[in-house]
Formats: sequence, structure tokens, C-alpha cells
Amino acid sequence: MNPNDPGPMVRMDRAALAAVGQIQRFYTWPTVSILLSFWAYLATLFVASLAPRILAAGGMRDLVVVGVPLLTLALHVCITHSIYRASDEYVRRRILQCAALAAVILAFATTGYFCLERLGYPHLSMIAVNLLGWSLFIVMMIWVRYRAR
Amino acid sequence: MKNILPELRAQRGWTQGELAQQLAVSRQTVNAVETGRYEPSLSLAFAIAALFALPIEQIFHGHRQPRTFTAESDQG
Repeated sequence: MNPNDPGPMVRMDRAALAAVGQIQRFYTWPTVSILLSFWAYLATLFVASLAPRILAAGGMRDLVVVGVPLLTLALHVCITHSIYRASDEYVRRRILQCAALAAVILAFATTGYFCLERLGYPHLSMIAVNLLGWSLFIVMMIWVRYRAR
Repeated sequence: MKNILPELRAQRGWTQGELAQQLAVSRQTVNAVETGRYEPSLSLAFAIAALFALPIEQIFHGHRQPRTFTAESDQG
């Protein structure tokens, strides 16, 4: 028996602490804030899609349908920008690569779907394109943040 | 561009995380510089040189050579 071996319980405790440390380093403000702001954006889009059925025509309905989603999108863009500014030079380059890759995927996807539409597929809403682009970018950005933890 | 960053780091017994902390960058950045996937900016290269108290050209080598202009090439 190795006298330096602390035993299985201590080894397990250290492994658990290391795992918690990894999780804590990942769930820092950039990851949490980008997820929360995107969730807020999705929530306001959902409310905006329901608002015409619930609210009577008027200023309040216009605000909920047009203003609030734009505000949460602006918040999301600001948070993304602040994460970019707070990152070091290599992570900044990776974030720009993510944006470029998301744009290329989106370009191919929209061109492909445009051709499918000519073949009789249903018309695609602009918001689907918007959400696809943002989702791709966020997944890639979170992956970059996960690797940089 | 190649570099001797892993050797310098090993001499001091630092992990990539410890070096990253001293340079105020992420561990991923140190890893990318060490493996040659990323060429650091001038300011980061200066920070690395200052940390190891060595000239930049001693740490980073195999850089691109400048074009040499001769009288014939200038004339086109």
C-alpha cells in the first residue's frame, strides 16, 4: 500500500472539487449574461407574436410588438460586444471567426432554402433566419468561452 | 513562427494557467501561442519577453523575412 496515497474518499473529493471549479470557471458573467439576454430576446419575441391576439390596436400593442423585441435585441448586442471587449486578443479573434462562420452557414442555409421554396416548400419567415443566425453564433461563442475557461 | 515558450515555462515550473495569469490572458491563448496556432500581437510578445527577461527574437524565431529590394527589382 502506498503511504502517500490519501485514499479513495480524498481522491473522490478532490475530483469533485476540480469538477466544481471547472463549472464555476465556465459559468462566469459572460456565459450567463449572453444566455440570459438571448432568453429575454426569445421571450419578448414570443410575447410579440401573441400580442396582436391579446392586446387591442393602439400604442401599447405597437410597443410590445415592435419596441420591446428591438430593445432586448439591442441589449443582447451590447452584451455580446462587452464580452468581445473584455476578452483577450486570441479569444477576440475566435469570436470574430465564430461570427464569420455563422454568417457563412446562414448564407448557405438561406440560399438552399430559397431554392427549396422554388420547389414548393413553405415560405420562410425572416425571424427564423434571424434566430438561426443568432443561435449558431451563441452556441459557437459559448464553445469558445468554454474552451477559454 | 516557432517559439521556446514551453521550454521557458517548464524551466520555471509554471503551468499554462499560471503563465496565462501572469500575462493577463486566457489559458487558451497561451496554448495557442505555444503550439504555433496563433502569432501573438506585438504587445503580448513584449509582455512575454519582459516576463522571461529575454529579447523577443530569442523567444520567437522562424519569422517571415522582409523582402530585399535591389537596384534591378526597383527598376521593375
